[in-house]
Amino acid sequence: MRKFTAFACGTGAGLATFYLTKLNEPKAAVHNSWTRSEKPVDACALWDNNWDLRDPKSLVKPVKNDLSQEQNRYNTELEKVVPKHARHIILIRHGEYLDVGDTDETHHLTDRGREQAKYTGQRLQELGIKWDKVIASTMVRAQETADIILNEIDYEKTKVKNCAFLREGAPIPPQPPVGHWKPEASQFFRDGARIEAAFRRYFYRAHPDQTKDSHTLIVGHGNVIRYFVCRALQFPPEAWLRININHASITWLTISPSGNVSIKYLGDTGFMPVKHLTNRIPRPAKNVV
Amino acid sequence: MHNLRFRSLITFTSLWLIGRQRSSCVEEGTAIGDTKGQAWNNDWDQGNPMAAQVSAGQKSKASRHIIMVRHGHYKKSKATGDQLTDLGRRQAKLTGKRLREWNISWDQVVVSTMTRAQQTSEIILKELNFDPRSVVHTDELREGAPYLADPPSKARRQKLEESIRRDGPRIEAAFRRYFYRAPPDQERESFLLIVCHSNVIRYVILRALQLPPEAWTRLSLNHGSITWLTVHPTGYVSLRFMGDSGFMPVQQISSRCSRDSGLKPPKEIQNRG
Repeated sequence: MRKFTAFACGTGAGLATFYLTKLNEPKAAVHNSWTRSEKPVDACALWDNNWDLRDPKSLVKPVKNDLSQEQNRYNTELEKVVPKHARHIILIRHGEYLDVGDTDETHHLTDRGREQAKYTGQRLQELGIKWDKVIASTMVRAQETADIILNEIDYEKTKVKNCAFLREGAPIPPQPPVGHWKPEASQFFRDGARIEAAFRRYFYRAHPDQTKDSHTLIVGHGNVIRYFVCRALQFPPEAWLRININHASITWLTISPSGNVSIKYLGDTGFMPVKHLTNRIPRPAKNVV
Repeated sequence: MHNLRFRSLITFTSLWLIGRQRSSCVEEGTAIGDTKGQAWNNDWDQGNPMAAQVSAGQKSKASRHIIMVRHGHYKKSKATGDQLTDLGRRQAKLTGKRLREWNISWDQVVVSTMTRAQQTSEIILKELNFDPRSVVHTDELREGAPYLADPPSKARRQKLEESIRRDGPRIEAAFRRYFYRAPPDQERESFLLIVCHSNVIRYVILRALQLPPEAWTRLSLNHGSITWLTVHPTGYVSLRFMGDSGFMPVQQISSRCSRDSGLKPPKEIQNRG
């Protein structure tokens, strides 16, 4: 009997110690991806409301005590940092192009690519939006697309921002890996952080002093747009390659004042005749981005 | 006493070792490069009778394209039931025309049994080359609350949970019925047209792409919009576009239903349309 009790107690104590140590361990390392590696992600991936570090509650000193004075201080300060309006970010992929030559300088839009860009420009004009900002990637195909679009929409050409952060690249190794597209690890290393930096530069909830909904137009590239969509909606970013978008398509993301993000449409090209729809370089695929 | 301490030490060490072993297994299984998220599962359609042979090791040869259309704009009304509005009819017609432009020979057309989806599909089918008698009508695709949303909605939690308890498994069943790899005897690409509802489409997109389904409220779809998913023979699924409605004039675009009464419904209910 004594032996049995000893055995039971011993096992019990062992189990208890095990679970106690386990509790004390830093959270089992389930990280969504390297982009969020500083924050362990819950298994069921809850929405992180402070994704842009602009959650009003995180910008105000927390309440120190129960005094009504302190409460008032907190409420006034909070009121000052709460955004009131939404930001709409409209992402356009460049038109069809041909990669003649080794450098980007000679990668021009095809005739069809130009037509696609024109259709997109007309559609954007039809939407009747007053653009607050237009940003284009510095790559030739994006620049050419932006030029054609700007002929159609109401925005001063000289005010367009060119941004090298938006250049095409390999954002993060896709899951599942896909046969024909296998960039070197060094490409992901080089481009990944830069594209994440672009995301952080353009995606944030409105500032509290913004007085109306704003519209930002970004002319960029397939991989970058797909990565942005995944990051903005807090999907695992390695899923980006599961999405395909057509040339010169429109993708509409909205960041509401609460910090929630939603997508209105993805890769919309309904305004182009079906025969104009393309999504890759018009020749057998080569390992380029 | 000494004995006791020794025993607990053994139990502790063995459990700790097992635990360590397990966690390292998980990492090896999923990691490619820097990714530590969920790995893609190619064999996700197990259990669907259509994919049984493929699951058992036979090769699938062709892609399946699944094109989903949301119904047109409609009006909620107690007196006449929920009917498409004139706007909704125009939208459906435009959607039908756009689908015809693709020049697709449709293999199957499936429609939710709710009035607004039925009316939408009738208009669309007038434009398409498909025999309306072979359309499949199913209750599985009716509108409902598919999953507890995150970020959480403002609606009453209890009520939401009740609807999800009722609708969730049914919508999941719809997903399992229509999404699978092509059976080995399918020689060419196939095209399936589904006319149904926003919540159902949003949930199904995320399930098909193996993304977290609780994210469905982060997506939104316009009335009459087209969403195109492709199931590749390997088991890979890709999204070609979502909520495409560019073929409609801007003034005709809508995403929420209108109601009889002047009272504005709370946001969450507006979303359900």
